[in-house]
Amino acid sequence: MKKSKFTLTLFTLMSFIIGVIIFYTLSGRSNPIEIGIIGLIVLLGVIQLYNSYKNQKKIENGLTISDELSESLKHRSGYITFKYSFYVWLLYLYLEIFGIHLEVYQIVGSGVILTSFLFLIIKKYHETKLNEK
Amino acid sequence: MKNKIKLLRVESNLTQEELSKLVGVRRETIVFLEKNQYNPSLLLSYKISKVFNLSIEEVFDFEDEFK
Repeated sequence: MKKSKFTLTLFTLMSFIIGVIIFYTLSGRSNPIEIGIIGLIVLLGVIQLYNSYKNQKKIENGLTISDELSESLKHRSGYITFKYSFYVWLLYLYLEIFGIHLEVYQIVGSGVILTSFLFLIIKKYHETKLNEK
Repeated sequence: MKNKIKLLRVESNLTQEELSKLVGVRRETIVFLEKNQYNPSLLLSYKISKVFNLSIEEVFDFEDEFK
């Protein structure tokens, strides 16, 4: 199951990268914000790929990759990310106020990706700083 | 909530990884438990106690919770 997740992630990431390269080669577009968003998506994919690989190795060694603590951390991080994601959207309002105009698809794209990164950072922080006392 | 997991584990000659396999959790969870940084569920507490052939009260100290 987890092995197929790794293969699926690798396949999806490679398809995405190849698709993007072909699209930009044929269309000749070069919008730096779009390329930045695509870069972040690829980075997220690479992180996901690395995690899948680590989990696969753990399963091969007979270790558990998910338990009650990891689930609890995931849920808690999700809640905190939701709370703080409002500040991500607020950031775009400030950009508009300061005269930096973005297209709707750029705001939605980068907003979702930035929120994903926020989740990863919050989850990592909780995993290292866990203290329930 | 304090516990004696580390002491019991060392006495039983078990590594953190072996204990985690026996109770079906990640090794990181055992690390947090031994540092008293995580309060396990009743089911996990039971599984851990079962590994050491002790009751839950003998592994986990609930006294501090009532102070």
